[in-house]
Amino acid sequence: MTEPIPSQSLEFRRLIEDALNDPYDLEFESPVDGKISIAFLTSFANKKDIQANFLAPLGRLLAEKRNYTWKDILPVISEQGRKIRESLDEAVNDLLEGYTLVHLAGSDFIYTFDTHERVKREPTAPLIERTIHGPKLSLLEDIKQNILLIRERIKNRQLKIEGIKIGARSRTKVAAIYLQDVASPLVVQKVHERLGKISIDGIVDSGYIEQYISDNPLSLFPLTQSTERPDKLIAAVLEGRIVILVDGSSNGIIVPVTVNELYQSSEDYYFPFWFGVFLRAFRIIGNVIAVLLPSVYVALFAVNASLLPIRMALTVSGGRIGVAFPLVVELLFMEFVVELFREGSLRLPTTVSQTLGVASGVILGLAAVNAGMVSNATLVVTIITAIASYSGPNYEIGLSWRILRFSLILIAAAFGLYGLTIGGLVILGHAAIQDSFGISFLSPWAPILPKELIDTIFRRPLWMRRRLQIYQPVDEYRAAKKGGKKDE
Amino acid sequence: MKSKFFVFTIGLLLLSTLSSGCWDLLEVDKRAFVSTIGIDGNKEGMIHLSAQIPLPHKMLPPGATTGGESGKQFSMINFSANSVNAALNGLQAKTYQEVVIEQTKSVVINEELARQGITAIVENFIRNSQMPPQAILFFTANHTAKEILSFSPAQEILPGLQFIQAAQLVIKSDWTYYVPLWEFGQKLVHKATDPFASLISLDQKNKMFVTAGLAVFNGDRLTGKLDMAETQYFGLLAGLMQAGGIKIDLPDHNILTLRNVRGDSKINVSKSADGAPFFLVKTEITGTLNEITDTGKELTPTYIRKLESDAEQVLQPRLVNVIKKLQGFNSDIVGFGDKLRIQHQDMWQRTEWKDLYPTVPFAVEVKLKIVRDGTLR
Amino acid sequence: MNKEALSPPTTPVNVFALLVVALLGLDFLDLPYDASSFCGPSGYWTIVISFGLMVLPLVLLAVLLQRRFPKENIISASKSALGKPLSMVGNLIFLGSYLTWITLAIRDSTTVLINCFLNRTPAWALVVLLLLGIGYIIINGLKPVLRLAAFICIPMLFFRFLMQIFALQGLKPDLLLPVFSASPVSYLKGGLATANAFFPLTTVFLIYPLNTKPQKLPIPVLWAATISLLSFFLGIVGAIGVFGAELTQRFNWSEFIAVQHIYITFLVFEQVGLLFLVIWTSLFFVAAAFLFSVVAKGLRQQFPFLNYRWTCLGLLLLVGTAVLLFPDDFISRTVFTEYRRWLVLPVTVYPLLVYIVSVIRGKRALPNEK
Repeated sequence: MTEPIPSQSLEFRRLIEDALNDPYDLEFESPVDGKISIAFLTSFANKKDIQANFLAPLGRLLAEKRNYTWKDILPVISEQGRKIRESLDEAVNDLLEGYTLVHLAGSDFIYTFDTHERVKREPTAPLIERTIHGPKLSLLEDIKQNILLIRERIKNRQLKIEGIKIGARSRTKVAAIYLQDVASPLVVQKVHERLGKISIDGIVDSGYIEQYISDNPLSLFPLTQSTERPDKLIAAVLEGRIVILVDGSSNGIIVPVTVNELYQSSEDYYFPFWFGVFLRAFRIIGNVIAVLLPSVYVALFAVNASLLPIRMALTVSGGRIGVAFPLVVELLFMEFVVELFREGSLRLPTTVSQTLGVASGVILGLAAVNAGMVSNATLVVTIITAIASYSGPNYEIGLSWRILRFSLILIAAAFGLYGLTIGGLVILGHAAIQDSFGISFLSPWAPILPKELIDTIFRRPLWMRRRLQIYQPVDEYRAAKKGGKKDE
Repeated sequence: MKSKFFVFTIGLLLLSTLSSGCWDLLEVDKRAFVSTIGIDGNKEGMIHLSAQIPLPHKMLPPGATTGGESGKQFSMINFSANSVNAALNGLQAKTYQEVVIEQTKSVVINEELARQGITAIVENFIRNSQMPPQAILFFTANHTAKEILSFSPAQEILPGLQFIQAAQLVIKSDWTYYVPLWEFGQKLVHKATDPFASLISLDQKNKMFVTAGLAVFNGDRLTGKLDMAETQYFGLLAGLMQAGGIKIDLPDHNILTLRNVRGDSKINVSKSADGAPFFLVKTEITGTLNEITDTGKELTPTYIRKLESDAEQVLQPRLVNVIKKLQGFNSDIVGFGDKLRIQHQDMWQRTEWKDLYPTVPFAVEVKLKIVRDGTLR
Repeated sequence: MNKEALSPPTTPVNVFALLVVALLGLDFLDLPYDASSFCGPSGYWTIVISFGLMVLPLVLLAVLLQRRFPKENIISASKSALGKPLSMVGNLIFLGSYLTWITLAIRDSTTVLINCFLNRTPAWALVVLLLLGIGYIIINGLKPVLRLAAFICIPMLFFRFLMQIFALQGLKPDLLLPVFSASPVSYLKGGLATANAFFPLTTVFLIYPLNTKPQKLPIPVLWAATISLLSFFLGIVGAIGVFGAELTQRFNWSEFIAVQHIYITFLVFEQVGLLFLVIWTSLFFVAAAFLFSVVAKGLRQQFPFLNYRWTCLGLLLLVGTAVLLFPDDFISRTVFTEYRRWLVLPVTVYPLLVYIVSVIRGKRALPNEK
């Protein structure tokens, strides 16, 4: 539709209606003489605002003047987001983005004004990535508010915010944010290329973008990082990484990502050094337990029992008296039940979820043991695994392990600790193949970057001025030496 | 492409688990863990194997919802065959579970069988990778292995596990020395030493096991036993006593008791005039004074030196007697042969040690040091 | 498959990680047998002699070849030095050595696993499992192998050394004495016999062009060899010092049995030996993947018409079949024991030959290749 704007009001109205198939929320208003047409979508614009910003001032103008032009109209009406449009196509697109169109009969162009009233909600605390220490803000669906949250924290000229609209029908606003003098130009270029290549009709959530820009969308490991915390985004930008915000999504994307980042929580850095180290180490141990405990349990109690202390072997053996199912089956059954609980609890009303969760977990567990469906040891293993799986701050890597855990259980059942070793190495090998925007997913472990290893199990002290080189930042140092200049 | 291969590989690995049949999958409750093996034999060469199998439902902790019943905590199964391995295989027929020896804590061998030679038995166990090399060897004194295994002591702790617990406690390694399978095998194969192992017997009256004394070997044949006191002196000679206690009857009819006693010996080998080796054993003993019946005297350095000197005079002939007794058994468990091998390799290579050992000349020098006196002066 | 994945450049630290994993992974836990059978109680000197006999000259040769042919490995350098027909034969023998080594190594590892870990699982199941896993790793080039080696290097080194130190439990110094219990000739023979422990180090002739800092080539190689030497030395001392020379010669995998005998009072696990096997399996897996990968890459270099992935597949099938052709473990063990003592010859003599001929013929890399 590259048609020019028709000069007649009626023709203008007709073409707009035809373009949008006469939608329910399309309205036209006109001051007294009908020469000015105002078109808007009531789902975007508030009629009171239209009345106050357009109709009332125009009414007053018409009362004073009989002959008027754009020069007379423009000063009296709202200036917000004013654009001039000469083609019908542009006019319709603006209308669909929440703009109000103002047409003057006899004119071959129109003006559009931003009257978009967004669906807003108040910022809340993060739902998934909760912390004890640190800001209690999460991202919102409005991209502008999210950008504001970042701008408020990084007041620097080098902060680059690039916008692009993705989605043929949704035209969703996507912003890439980074520090120009820090982020690696190669990574920035890759981000540009990949965002530019996205061809889709509509973007509903940032997850769509993640899958499109990922180096390997079929990998079981997340090769982009998703977060609902603005402080994480800010820290990432300061490290030289790139943040991508998507309008309509309350999750931001950070690229590149390494496995290291997926186990780090913001509050590691908010606590004093040794507390941060302790928390991180404990989290890693928790994740290792969550991944390996069920398969090691199977390997030891079903294949390589010689490794067990005899008392433990006998106690567990005694506890399995009367259990109907083989150990592998009962473990898989319990893991399946836990997964059901997880999924079900997401959809339970919050008023009952906690009570129901505790009651059903406790009652179901006891009932299952008494019914001879599972043994006490299996129940304990499953519960510890479930709890430990929540120790990781990143939900997506937790999902990866939830899937891979089943394969590890099966291979441990078949080949014991040896099979578990081979299975683990294959999974590690799969992780070793992955890159995230040119950075190895296993960095800095593989390839080894000795100086960067300090920020893996240990938390790097804040007073280390040197940035992590994993993301190849242009500017090596976060701050100048004492007395030196390092700003702007 | 990479992910397709990953999925393919994981899929094949998983398929292999389903198609494989999981050959080694055997849950703990389907295993009959043998905690102790007992081996008796007769002169015709038949081996009578007894296996002590703990009952899992008796092992549950207090408060467990099932089991925890009183009574014997183990069951016994037996089989006779002409070899240990055949007898072990025969045990499979005696229980519905699979008999496994991967948790065996101890092996009790009949003294009579040991006198006939036990290389085949020991090698069989060492060759079997399932058998833990840390399993402790015992040799019976005055009872058969089956009697030992059938016995339920007053304390009602699983007997096989009792021994391991005892072996871990340093203070217990005084009246006997617990020798694991691997160490026994090492001494058996090593030409310059002979093996030894703990003796076990029953105290029926008090319903307890007695592990005291040593069975000593010449090669792979049991040739003699050391009683408790002799075992202590051997421990001092061989450096095995780490926290023992010894009682010394002093010449002036007082009794000196020491605790936390450690002893070790340096053995020097020299060539005598006729070219034969001469062994000088210098034993150093340290201990804490525990009891002296000559009470009331302040423990001055002079008095302590006197006590030490008197004690040395008592200890020296005892150590000599132990070595002589071992020579009589032709059992070189102190390690004279090893010292000869190290210090005079050429002489060692020329010597038939087993022929020479029983008559080899030696001398023992004892140095006792009382290093602490407890809380009283 | 992009070229970068096939032949990624790598820093000296990562070269070190790769070599140390290869050296320790392809250690067949049987060094104490070789050491004690030649030199008795003082067999621990043999590995030190092996280090002097093999590692130092090897590093020197690698440096000299690298200087002469900076961006070429032995496969391409030999073409310049020996000419195409001779180099083809030499390269095939060179690469074939690695292939036969890995065949025998897989067979030996399968045997130890069946004997000690999974008694009833058939050999073919273990071989298929192993080769499937290796296949997935190598099909994506050398990059995942390099990264895997870097990732597992530090933790596996730590646990291996920890276990080997614990394996000194019950060590009797008398069993290691006298310090010089054998004749100089015996030590030399023993040193030559144990030199095969450093066989994986010869892969440096294939991978040194990948090193991003060529002038630092000796450093990672020497470090890898030294750390491996320490581990081998500990293993030999642990076995002979605990079991004595005579019993050590009776064991099949004495380093493993030495760890198996550990008893730590309050440790959760009863048998540390099986954990040691897990660590060794991890190292072996990556080391085997590395050997497969460099052989496939070498073959592709020699015959450019070959596709890397299909070559990998072919090698896996070939090795898998060869592994399962051995009728029993006695033959495979005998062949392996003798073969690996001699196998160091082709992989050391060939690069030496290439160097000497290139010097005589005045062949070196062309100026624009430097």
